[in-house]
Amino acid sequence: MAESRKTGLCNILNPDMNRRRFLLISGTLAAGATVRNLVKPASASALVTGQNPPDATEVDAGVQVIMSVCQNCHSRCGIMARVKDGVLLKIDGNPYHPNNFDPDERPPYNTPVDEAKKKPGRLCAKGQAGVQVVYDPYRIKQPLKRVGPRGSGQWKAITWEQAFQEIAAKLKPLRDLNTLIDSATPELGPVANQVLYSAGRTIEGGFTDRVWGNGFGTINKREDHTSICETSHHVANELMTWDEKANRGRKNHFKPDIVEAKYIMLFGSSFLEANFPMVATARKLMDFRAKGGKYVVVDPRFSNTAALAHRWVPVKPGADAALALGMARWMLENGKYDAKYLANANQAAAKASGEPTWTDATRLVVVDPSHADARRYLRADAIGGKKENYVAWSGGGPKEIADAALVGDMEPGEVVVAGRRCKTVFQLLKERVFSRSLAQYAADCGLSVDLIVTLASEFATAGKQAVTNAYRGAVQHTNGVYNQLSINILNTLTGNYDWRGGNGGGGGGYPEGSGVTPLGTVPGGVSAKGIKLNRTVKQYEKDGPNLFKRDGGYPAKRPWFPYATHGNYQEVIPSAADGYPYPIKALITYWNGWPYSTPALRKTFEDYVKDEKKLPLFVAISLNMGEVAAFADYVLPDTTYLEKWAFPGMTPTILTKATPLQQPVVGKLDGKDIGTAPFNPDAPNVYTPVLPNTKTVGDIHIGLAKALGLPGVGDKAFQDGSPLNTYWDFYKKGLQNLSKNTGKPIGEIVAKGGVFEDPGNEYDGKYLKYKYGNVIKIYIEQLATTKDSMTGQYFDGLPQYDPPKFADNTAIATVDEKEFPFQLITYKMVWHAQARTATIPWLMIIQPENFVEINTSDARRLGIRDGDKVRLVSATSPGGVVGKAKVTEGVRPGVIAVSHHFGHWELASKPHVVDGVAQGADPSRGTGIQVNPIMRLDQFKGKVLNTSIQDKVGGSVSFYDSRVKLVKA
Amino acid sequence: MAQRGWLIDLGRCIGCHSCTVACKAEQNTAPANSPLLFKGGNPQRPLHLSYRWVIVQEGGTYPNVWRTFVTSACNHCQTPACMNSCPVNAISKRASDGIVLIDQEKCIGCKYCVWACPYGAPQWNESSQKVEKCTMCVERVDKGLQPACATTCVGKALTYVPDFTVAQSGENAPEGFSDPPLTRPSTRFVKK
Repeated sequence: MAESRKTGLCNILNPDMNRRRFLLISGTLAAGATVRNLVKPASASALVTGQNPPDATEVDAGVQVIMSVCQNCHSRCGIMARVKDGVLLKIDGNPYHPNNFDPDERPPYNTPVDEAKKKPGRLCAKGQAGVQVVYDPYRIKQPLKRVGPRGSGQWKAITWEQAFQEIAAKLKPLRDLNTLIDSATPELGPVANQVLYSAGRTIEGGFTDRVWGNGFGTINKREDHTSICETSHHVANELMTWDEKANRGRKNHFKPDIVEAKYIMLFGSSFLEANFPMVATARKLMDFRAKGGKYVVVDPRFSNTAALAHRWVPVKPGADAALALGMARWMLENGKYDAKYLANANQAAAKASGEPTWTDATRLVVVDPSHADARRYLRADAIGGKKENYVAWSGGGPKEIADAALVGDMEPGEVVVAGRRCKTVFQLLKERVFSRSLAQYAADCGLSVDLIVTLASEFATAGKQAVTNAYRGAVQHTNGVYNQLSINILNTLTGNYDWRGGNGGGGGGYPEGSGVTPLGTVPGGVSAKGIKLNRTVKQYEKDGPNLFKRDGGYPAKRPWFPYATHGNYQEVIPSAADGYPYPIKALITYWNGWPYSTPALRKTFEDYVKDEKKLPLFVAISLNMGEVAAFADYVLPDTTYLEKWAFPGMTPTILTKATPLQQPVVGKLDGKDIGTAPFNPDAPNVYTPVLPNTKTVGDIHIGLAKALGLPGVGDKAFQDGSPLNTYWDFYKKGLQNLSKNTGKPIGEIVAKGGVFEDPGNEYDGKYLKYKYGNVIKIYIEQLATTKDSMTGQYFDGLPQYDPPKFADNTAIATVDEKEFPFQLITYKMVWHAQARTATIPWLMIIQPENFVEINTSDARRLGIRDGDKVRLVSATSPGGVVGKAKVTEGVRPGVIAVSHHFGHWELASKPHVVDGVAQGADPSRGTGIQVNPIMRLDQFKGKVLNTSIQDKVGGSVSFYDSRVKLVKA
Repeated sequence: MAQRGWLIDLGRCIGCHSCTVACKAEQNTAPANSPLLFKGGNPQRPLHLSYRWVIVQEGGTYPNVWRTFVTSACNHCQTPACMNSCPVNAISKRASDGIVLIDQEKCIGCKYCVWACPYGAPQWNESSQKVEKCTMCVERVDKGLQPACATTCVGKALTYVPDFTVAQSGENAPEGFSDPPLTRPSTRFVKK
């Protein structure tokens, strides 16, 4: 500590210190980089008010504003960067962007920038703190090559040319698209699949797929982070909206029309702290509240969102489905659902009754277990109709659901059609919901019957203006998909989809991927084949027939994830370590925090990557020396999100259309500081980042792909024969497409940070303007007819409460509860993103460490006082982790809550050595604790596995089902 | 004389600290860079000063728990206790708009104002050994812009009032807010 205090003295006592001073003291700039006057001028004496002068304002001479998109969390709000003389001064909200302003505050798109900039948009603490991400003195400043063993923290600086050549030389022999990994199991695909690219955080998948998928040809082209975020939410919604013809879900995300709703029930979804995008969900929720709307927070932790809620419902973690189905039971028993909506069997019937959507409630399902069609919807060919049509019961007999309006019978009882015993989906749902009493549901979720009835009654009273929204807290469980499906049922019973004040799919965006040049088309490109290392979107028995035979059928050696349409991040490293279904030879990561961010992964990760025989090549594209980069062979330093291009997309919280543009806000284009010359889309626009020896993630990919001689980059990379030699070349094409599709000039799109539909286009009378307008499924035929690879049994096709379980379907509590009495949950603080924001002093001063939060009654029983050091221990982490106790009334008894963000063991919390010189570090980045490493490993019939507990349907890792005990440390 | 002031809607402050960081970023208050320094090595006390912050209070018994958030900064009072306490007249109240400012060139770092202010607005700067505080972004409001904290407020809880009605000083003040008649703060509240 003495040493850090000493460094501290030169720092805080130096009144000249400013944001760019790190360039002087960091000392590892590329030769030739100019460092100009780095000290801000002293302010005029008439207005001397603080030690440091304030920033120049957006209307001062010489100040430019650059509109871009934030990525200091994944909400991707609009930002307005204030720059002067090439220095980023301040980040505000982009006033044109609907994340940042309500419709009544947002200027129309044709408002000139010089006018709009005078009223900056709203932006959260993280977004504004982006300045300190660019000017972080401990960023990596040039490519590094490991010297000494992996993870030893010893590096030497190398040139980009050397890095690209050496890495390409090692990757080249692996780009073999003809030789099979294993001729006995051809389904695994060719050797090229043994190169795996994993982006933790990415909004440039469309670009990197061009290199790894169409260029290199690996099936493991983009193993991103979504399964440690909310993947079972997306999967459940896709299953609910499955398009059989396209074999994919129509929609992965719905959000309440917050402002116009009357009652919102949030399950594990914290609109004032997290979610998508918090800047808009929070603002709109406060508008809703001011209008008299009531919202309920279902969360075992008393969050900031709960603090302003109508009710806090401290549910037992993972039992959200029991609460939802309990409410559904009361609604069904008391007729408090929209029977008219549910009886519409098709679009024509829905339209006739003023409903934009319809359901499968009246479809017949074959319930005879011995019939070949068991568990499937009855198809109309059984009654002489078309094979692709379904069948309802109507007017005393079976009717084909074709184009003509059809209203079905909801509860005809069990009927026999063409020799098949059938029931309607509604009847199956009712039987499922009624299989437990309200008292049983109440016991399951740890709440009272009275409360369940009150919530159900309040919800039903608000009709189509009552909406549930579930997110991470409800779905990052082993039963995540079933929790989401069960919570969705409440929306389906009231039929609130596409209604004003109901549940909507958002406005979406304008296409930028095609129009002039298709960005996804790669001349000379290849298409990858085979099975992903993490076995997502494949069925064990059907898609891996030779493996299935080799391994003796069920259980599979590791689980397969047939409906994990958004990947499985936690399975990648443990699968590679096991060599199942095949070993990999090279790992390339980007913005990846695997061992820090993923439950129970740290030990498996470190043991695996330390072994060069198992993993011959490991390359990390990384801004800083994070927990992944620290073990790499090569670290290729990319730029911050404030120094790159992307089309980041929107979330359904926003009801109008928008296609925002992320673009560099600092650095140089063609040698000139950004903002000092008008943007010219026809110039070469060669970009030099703030740290000139770093590169955008795109330019790193282009350099590597060129060294490898891959198609899709270089001259004639696009279908129209134009080149892709810089990252700008790609976004120039995207902007041309967007310009053509919207009629807006590229210059205007760049100046305003995207294309935004004007406010006032949110509604179409009593409906949302942009509608989902399709079928909502209660019964998930895909699940009901797919086998669980670990048990050989069919998955359940209906919503259900299924307690958190291991891979062999034994309940976690029955194994662990006795010795480990607490259930561990985690949460996100509003001013932090998951793993990346501990580097930011402005955020770390707000709360410099995190705590082990325990209910007062539990603490009293264990003799734990506020501030005591306690050790958290799980069945698979006997060493545990030590943190500081915070005794609170704001967490459910029996539950321990610990926030993320803290307890980094790398990320420049300790120095690493480059060319024999210890680099700077900031110990404050390592304060507090991270509990992910102590979370529960999965097990199968008593045998502990090397991966965390997870959802076998959706692919989500569990963050909230690990059992722990507390020992005073 | 015009008076600039604040309107705080207690039912809309969500405790997000967007205002805290807006202020730090606009006014360049310490810390400006890594590494973050700690007083006495104690990670609960990083060396920093902030002109605006959020006061969080909580209480109750499970499951009937409450938590409140109040954004807080200098209230640019009608009778500023800080100004009256300053032995060297470093603190002044602008005649044109009532903004209270500390002249860094005159401040001798005696901390009388830190002691006198009932709102904790004056902030001790370890580095300069002087006292600073919220300037209401005077350099912005003089150009017709709003203070950084007010422009960014996510919950629309904090509003900059260019023409504050002095008679409404301290209206609907939350529990724990210092007795308004003492200094007549240019802040009023909307009840939760």
